[in-house]
Amino acid sequence: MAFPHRPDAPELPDFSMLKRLARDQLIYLLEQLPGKKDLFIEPDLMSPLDRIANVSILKQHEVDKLYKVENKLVLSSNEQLCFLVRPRIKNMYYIANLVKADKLAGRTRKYKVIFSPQKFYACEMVLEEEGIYGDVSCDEWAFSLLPLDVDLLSMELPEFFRDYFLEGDQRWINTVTQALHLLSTLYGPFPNSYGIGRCAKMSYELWRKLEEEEESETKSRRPEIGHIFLLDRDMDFVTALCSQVVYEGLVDDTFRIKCGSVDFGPEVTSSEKSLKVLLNADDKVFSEIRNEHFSNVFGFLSQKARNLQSQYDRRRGMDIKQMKNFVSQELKGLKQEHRLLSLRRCQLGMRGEVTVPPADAAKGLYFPRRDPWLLVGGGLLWSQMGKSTSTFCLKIFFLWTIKRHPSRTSNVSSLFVILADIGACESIMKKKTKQDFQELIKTEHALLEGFNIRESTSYIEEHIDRQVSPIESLRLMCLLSITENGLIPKDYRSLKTQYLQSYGPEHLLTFSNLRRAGLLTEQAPGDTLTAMESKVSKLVTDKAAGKITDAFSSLAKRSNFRAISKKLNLIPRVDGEYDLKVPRDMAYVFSGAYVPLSCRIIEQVLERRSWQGLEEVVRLLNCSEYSFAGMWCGGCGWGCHLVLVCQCGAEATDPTDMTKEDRASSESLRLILVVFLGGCTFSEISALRFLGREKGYRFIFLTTAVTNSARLMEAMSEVKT
Amino acid sequence: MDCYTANWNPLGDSAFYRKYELYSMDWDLKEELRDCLVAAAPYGGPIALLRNPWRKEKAASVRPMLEIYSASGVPLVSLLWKSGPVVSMGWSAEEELLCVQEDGAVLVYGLHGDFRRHFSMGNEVLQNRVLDARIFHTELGSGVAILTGAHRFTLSANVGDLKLRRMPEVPGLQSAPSCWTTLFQERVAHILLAVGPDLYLLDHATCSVVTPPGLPPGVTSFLQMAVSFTYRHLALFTDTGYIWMGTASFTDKLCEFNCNIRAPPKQMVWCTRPRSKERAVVVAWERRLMVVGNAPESIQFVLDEDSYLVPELDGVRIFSRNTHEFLHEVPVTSEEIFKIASMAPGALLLEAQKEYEVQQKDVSDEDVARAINQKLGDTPGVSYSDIAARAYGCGRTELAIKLLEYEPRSGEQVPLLLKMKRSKLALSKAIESGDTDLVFTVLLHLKNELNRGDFFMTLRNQPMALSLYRQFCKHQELETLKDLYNQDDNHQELGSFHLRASYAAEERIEGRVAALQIAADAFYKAKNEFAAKATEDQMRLLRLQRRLEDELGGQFLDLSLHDTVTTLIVGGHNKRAEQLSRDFRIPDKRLWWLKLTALADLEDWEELEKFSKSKKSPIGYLPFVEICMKQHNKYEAKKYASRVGPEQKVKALLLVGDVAQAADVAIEHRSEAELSLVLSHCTGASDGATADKIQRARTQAQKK
Repeated sequence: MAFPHRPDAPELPDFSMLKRLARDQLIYLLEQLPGKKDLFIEPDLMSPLDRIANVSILKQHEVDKLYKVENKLVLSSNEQLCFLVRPRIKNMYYIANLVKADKLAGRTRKYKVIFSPQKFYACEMVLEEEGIYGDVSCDEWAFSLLPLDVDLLSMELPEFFRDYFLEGDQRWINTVTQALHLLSTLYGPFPNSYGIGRCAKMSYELWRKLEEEEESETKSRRPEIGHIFLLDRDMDFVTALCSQVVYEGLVDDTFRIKCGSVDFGPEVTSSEKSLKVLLNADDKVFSEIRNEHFSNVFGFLSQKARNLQSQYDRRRGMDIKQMKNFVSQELKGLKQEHRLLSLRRCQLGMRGEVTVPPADAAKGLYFPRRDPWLLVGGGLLWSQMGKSTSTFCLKIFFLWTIKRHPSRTSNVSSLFVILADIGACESIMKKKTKQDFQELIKTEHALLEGFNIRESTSYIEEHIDRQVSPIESLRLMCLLSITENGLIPKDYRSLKTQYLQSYGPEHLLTFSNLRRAGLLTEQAPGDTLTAMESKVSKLVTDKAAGKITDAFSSLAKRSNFRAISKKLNLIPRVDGEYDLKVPRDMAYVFSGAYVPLSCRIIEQVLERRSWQGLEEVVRLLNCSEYSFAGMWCGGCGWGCHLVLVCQCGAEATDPTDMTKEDRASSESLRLILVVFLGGCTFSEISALRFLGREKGYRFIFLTTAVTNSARLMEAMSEVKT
Repeated sequence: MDCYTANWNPLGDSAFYRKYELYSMDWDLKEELRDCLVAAAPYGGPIALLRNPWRKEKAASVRPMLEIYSASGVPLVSLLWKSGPVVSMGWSAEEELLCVQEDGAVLVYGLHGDFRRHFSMGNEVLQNRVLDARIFHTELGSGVAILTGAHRFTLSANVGDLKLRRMPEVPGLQSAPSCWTTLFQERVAHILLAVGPDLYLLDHATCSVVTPPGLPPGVTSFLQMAVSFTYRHLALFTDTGYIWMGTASFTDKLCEFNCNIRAPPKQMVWCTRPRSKERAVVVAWERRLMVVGNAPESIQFVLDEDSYLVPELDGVRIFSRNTHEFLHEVPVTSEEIFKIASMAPGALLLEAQKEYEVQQKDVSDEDVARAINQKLGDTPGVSYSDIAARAYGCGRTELAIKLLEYEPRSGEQVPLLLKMKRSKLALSKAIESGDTDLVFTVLLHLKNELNRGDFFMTLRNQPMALSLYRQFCKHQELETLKDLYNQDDNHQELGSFHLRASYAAEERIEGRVAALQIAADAFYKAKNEFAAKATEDQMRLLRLQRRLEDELGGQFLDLSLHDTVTTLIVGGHNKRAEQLSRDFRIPDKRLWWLKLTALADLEDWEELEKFSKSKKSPIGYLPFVEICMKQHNKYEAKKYASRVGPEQKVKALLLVGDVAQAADVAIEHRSEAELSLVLSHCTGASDGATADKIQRARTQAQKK
């Protein structure tokens, strides 16, 4: 469990500085409005804000009341109103309405709009058109990098994916550029750069320009992070579309990790409160299991549980007083660990074990519902401990143990009888899946490997017919489409028809979106394709031609997954069983069935320090023009690309011109920043963490947002509002 | 190399100064310079002359001429001065000529004598008249300082954002100060003035006496003062012929020099450059020019003609009737001499050069642009967009465009291109810059400038701009979005547009159906039959749902087809459900899943059984078992378990908890997978026998 890093693995830089910077800037902005003020916050910004400055900090700077920016108008009595928003047009209307209402009422107060991470001209224009531009002051909170974990920086811009990959809107690229600039200012230059994808290339070039223009002090700094790799999400949709089976990914798929923490609602906690658990490297148990395949986590947690049980067993033979003592003293220390542990097992039970355990198996073990749990052995009523948030976890944990291992529960059940309202728990399980998780995984693997396509197609059809889940159905359709280079026309029509019948006609728009993004397409008739394709790719690459119709662009985005998979050996040949306990490659994040394409590309390029030998893969990815690798001149320390004439006077055209020492020193830097444009999944993070451990690297992840299959599909879905 | 060192003059041990000719002046002056008001713009800019008849108290009928020349003396404009008497002139940083009239009005002219605007320095100035005025430059912009007839000072630190400040009174001041200047410290403009042996510093609120450190006794009056270009240093010339040089904050003395000339100098200016080794001032009398610094000896030049000094960031310009010279500190090594032209301080030279080039009207634009580029190269700090702006200012639009092509930052090119009405070019440049805000700005420009059709056509060739504009329209101008698609014959998107409108914009059912009809037509035009048919189906469904609501009550509108049928079954309208599924050709499999789920939810076991027997199930019978078990109805589940096909039989039996029979079937099938599955279910005490049985079967199988 939790393999240690190699001794030569580098230390991670301290990213907490980013938080401090953001906090200081926010405080500065708040102080620009001296005195009491009410703060209106965009809902999307609440969690990130919470990680930067909590309520007490806001209060210190005279924030009086906090409101959500939402559809209904709020009556605030404060004389100063401050709005903290994303640069979205609908927010501008919200603010405009509020200001105009004040004007009508003859009221004057101060308004300040703080845009995060930057303001857009279009927003200011709306304020102007609404006639309130003169009434508000606008500012920017350049908060674009939130350290979610020691190695994970998120821009918290989930809309990046839809805006760029569907709408072709490039405005967030500037934000990316600024974020990269900030990183290189704080942590020194990145000597080696690689990337693939249209957006990656554009971000890279704009960032370089910015560095050159600013001639910042980074030049003289020693690089800390040796390599940067930029990758567009549309290079690899497949990985993002797969069900996640690594623990952290599984939790994300099941409960949605939001801004580094997960909210367990009343149905999990079986109390009225919901519980927020922060998931990061600070949590010892979690950091041991986050990157593990979930099948190992069961074993690991069982072991932990057994240890805990034996500690509980020590209570045997105690009198009531001693027992109470034990409860108050010893349990206190165990509580935290126990609580998280049990929660986790509970989550696993819900997802991993899909068939609901026979209710009556557990029924015999508990008494009437809605009682606190109690200890039979000592006759101690555990309710004395009160029904704190931690006890419900213990409760669920044991409940789960009983359900999972009826044979092994004898000692547990002899100790405890759990009187719990497991209704909530059951309801989740019921809701969770109408179909077998194993079946689902099996189908996914078949799609990845490209066999039994007919069977998988029927499986998906049944999935749709049974209305299992609109998002899941869509995901499977996309997975089928990408792995098969588009659906055959008959299936394309029939699956869509079925989908519309199940989930409503508005999804005709969803399909149009998916097609444009290249996620769900129709196979073009075989022969004409190649001729057409070459014509189209010319069209696409020819800037002057400009106009590309949707049909062409989706054609141009032929995924070629099968060919790429073969070239990069994404489906490992397995003799015997894949040992998930001792993974041998990154495929373990998908039960040994598939090496994530994105991670494989990164691995290969880092190994070669270039795209050399990967030309065919690049071509298959439709990225011949959008892959790049650059090294920075050692002569002046930083500042000029080797293919350009170096400003320090050295003229170099080839990386080999670099002195050996320079190369060696920059390459010896084993910290690698991977930038995912359009989001990355926890599975990819786990896979690269694994690769890092194997090779003695440390990866740092920068993503526009953490994503998963459901989020991608939702971004593409049209919903009635 | 000789020519370089020949005119080097040492000052002290470390620094050399040289004076060389920039231009021989093309102007043909009718008057002496001393008879004119002179204003030379900094950074090698233009020179303005105003013959000053008021001084001679001649008849007012002779109106003076205002003339503007380039730095090389090429006449740019000459015009008759028709306004009131001018006391002082100066150029702003934007190269606008500010003429301060006696009455406190300031008239602003462009480079070509075009009148721009005027403003007043206030009532007090108007009443007391202007005695003296200075135009000065700071980081805030260009300012005007006025000394009035009442010996009070009024100043505005930035004429672009006119805020008049009346400075406090100097106590006991009866006559005009012997000399004065503006200082600029901590982003605030001050006035320093000399009255007899005293120096006063005025800021907005206070008047304080200042004493230069290390000033020898015996000074009874200050004749001249000079502040350096950067406002850091100050020089004072006393009536004893002594020059004090120190910091403008009066904290340090740098050096001193005694020139033993008691005659008041005509001009005194600093001659330094960034990173210069020496700090020196240049003092000019009628026929003598002297460079003094921290050295016992000074450098002296003879002035052949009436000359005028212009302090620059990196030296001093000296022009007269015939020549225009530059005096500056020579960099230490001759190596660096060659760098002069490329260094930022050398901007003077470059500016002078380009100013000259831009005005060469007989050479082709292409050649001029290339010549300028060859001279300037990619020198940092040189902004081609600024030079282009000048060219445009001279009316040479094409040259400006050519020059802009040398501007490496495409974003910088945009504002000027827009100004020159080259909006389409501006759009491409904005797109190149990657700055979406800039693109958007240009788009709005274009939108106002072009007619709609042309605007759309322009967008059509710029996909990035088009998607940006589309995004904007989606939020702001839905109708425009529609027009955009129409113009493009983009029927697919038009279809989507109306489809969305059918549930987002329309409320009434008729409106919704109509929107769908337009959508369907568009889809047909886009040759997207699938979408067209699906849309038509939706129209039918909507109408039908409305009818159902009318006839049966309840909520049907906006349900999916599947949910509509389910609702009908749950409501007991089986006939209608069947009719609907026939009308919409719902496939058998879907119908079976649907009915199965609906009936189980109703716990209508009787109907479920009837349904299961209506024909052979297209989805098999395992789903029946599953759904009954989910409703905890083992009894019903068992009924269907027997009908499950052999492939899923074991699964079904295990589901209903019949482990023993499951074992029998598995043994019969001789399937190892099934055997292990059953074995994993043998948990209860009663399953012991079954487990043994399976183990026996396994060993037997192995024996065979």
